[in-house]
Amino acid sequence: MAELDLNGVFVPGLLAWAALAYLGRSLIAWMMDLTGAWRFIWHRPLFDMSLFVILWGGVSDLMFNIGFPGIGAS
Amino acid sequence: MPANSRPWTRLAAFAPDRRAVIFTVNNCLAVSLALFVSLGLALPHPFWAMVTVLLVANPLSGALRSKALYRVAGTIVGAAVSVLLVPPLQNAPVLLSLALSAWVGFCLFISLLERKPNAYAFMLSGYTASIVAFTGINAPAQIFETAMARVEEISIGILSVSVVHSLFAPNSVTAFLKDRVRGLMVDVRHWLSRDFSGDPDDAVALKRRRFAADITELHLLATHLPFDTACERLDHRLIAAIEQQFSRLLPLAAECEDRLEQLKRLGRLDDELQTLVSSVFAWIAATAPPSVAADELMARCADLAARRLAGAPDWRALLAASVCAQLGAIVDVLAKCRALAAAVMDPGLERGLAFYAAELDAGPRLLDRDYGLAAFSGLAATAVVMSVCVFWTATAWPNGGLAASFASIGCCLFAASPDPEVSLKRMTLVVLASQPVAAFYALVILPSIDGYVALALVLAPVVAVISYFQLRPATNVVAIAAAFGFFGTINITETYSNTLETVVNGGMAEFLGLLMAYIAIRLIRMTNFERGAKRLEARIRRDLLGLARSSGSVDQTVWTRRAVDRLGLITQYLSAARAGGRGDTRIGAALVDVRAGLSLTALHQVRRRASGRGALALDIVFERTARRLSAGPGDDFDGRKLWASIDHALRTVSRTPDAAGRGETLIVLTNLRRVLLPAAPGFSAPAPAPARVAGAAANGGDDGGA
Repeated sequence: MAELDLNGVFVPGLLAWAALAYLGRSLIAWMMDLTGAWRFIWHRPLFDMSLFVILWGGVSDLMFNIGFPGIGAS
Repeated sequence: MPANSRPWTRLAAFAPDRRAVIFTVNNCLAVSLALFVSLGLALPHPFWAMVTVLLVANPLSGALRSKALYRVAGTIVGAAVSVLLVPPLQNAPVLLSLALSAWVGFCLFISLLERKPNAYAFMLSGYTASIVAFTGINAPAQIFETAMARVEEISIGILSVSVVHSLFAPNSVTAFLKDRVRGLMVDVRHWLSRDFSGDPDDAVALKRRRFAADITELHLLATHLPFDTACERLDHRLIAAIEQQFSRLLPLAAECEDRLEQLKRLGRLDDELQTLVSSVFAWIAATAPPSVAADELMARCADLAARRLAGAPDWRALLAASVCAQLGAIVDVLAKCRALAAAVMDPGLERGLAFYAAELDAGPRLLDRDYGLAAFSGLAATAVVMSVCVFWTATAWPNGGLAASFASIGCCLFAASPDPEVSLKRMTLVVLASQPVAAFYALVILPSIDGYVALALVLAPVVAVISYFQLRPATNVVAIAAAFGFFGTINITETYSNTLETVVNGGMAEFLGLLMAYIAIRLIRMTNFERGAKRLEARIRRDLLGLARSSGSVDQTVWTRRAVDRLGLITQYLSAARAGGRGDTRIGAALVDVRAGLSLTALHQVRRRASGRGALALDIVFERTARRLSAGPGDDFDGRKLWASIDHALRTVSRTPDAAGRGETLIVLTNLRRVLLPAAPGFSAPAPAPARVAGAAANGGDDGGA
């Protein structure tokens, strides 16, 4: 289980990837707000959550495969 | 036997509607989910996650999500503060109690200043710190773990409730707001038409009285918009623009009503004016798009006003001009309201509304703020928590920590409501009443079941009942108190550890903590509806005095918005205090103050353009108004001086036909005269001899004051 060592505080890797995924989701949601693309979505919260989970999985997979300099034990 | 006395008909009133069923089912799901995750992660107090679900749940998904976010933020801050305070002070119980009580009081102070939902975060950080520190004091070396566990439990509860309520049939704030705006537009049409036709109708009058409160409610709902679950969110600036326009309507309508009444007393309205009034009335009452354009009506009003003010206008002419100005303003505001409401219903129209973008940069939000009350409540909370801690230390009571936590919860939860005594009393009694049920569960039911599924099923009925009562505003407090009391006592932890002793001790501690909070609040008796209303009235009057004395410019929109917000609060408080007829009189008086403020801001505007003798006359009016406002109601002398100064100003301005803004100045002075001196007889036509002035003042005589 990957852990990030931030100055002595160990943050679980999954949490950090979740935060990244949340940022990504916010970005996409903001862009959809600008372009009015929400009209085509049936259920906004479901879409949001699915997007978040997909992004989270994607980021985790990316980090797992590529590796990351700051990770303690990968 | 009449139909509504049959028992099953009355019982049917309790039958849940579709929305209540969905909400209850969602809550049960969320509680089960929170329980599952907490048990899976082996957290020490899963019941906090469950209580959080019940506390945060709200039928409007947007409101729920915003409350959830603030709750997490507040919990993190509170936990951090407790971790900061406990290790250095663990051997100095008095100092620790003082520090924590002060923190609770401070957080409460800040949260009371902010009436918006983000105040919730401050309140949470206050009582979270007290909960973590007081219950973790027995093992101070593990304070970090205790704090972390609490943050985790709250987060799990929040995530569960947000996920479940967002995914399964969410109720959108946008849809709710659209409904409200539509309803308010219909209400406005009704009571505006009633003003002109003069038909008394109690239901409509009630709506008009509640209008100011409705505007503030609109604003508070709009703060949840960024968290909304709808596909197309409403722009909260639209709502802000509508609020501004709505706030202007209330005083304008009152002014118009007053002038028309005065004119009718002086005799029939002349034909031209009558036609104009009827056209405006027809335009307002039209449900279909009206045939006459708003611009045209406004032009007619301005034209008639200008014609009446030509030459040497007498009182009737001044009143007529004032009416025309008010009618024009009402048409303008209502047209903007209609355009904005149409944009709310159909967001596609929003792009074309150029005017509202400019109006919106009028500045920050202007809800009323009561610094004195907030500070006092904060101090009261500090005192209560401190005294419970002292009792706890002195008696070496093992459950004292729980009592202190509940005392801080009790102080914080209801400080924002205008009558915390009643709510706190209910909470105390309900917590007490829930103890037997909780004891039965903890000691009889829970030991006889096994496994997660059975646990979830067994708790479901309790959660369902609590959720159902949470939906109704009348029983909301009761439901929350029951949640605290019940779940706090059954104390679901990893391994079953309840004995009769722990259950009774825990229950007693919660009850005692709340009882002490209630006693303290009662002793302090700082606020209840009556006093709240009085303080608001005093603040309006103080603002008014400030207006009369200030030389600078005051933004009319800013002033109106804050004043109408206060008016709304007064209406709410007085109707909750059941003040009846006397309450209506006070609401009327507050509305008069709002109108006076509007006239004064308008007077400031015309003063800036005035020059020469006109400017001097206006300055005298300002000075006398300030003295009149600061004098008591029994002080007649200043009233007569004010009257004389306004009349003098009217004469001076009307005698200079080329002065800039002459028409506007005359109208504003007329308005001021009517609102500050409603009982004074009509202004007499310009007379050169000063002796006549004294004669008129003495004649009209008996009531020169308002």
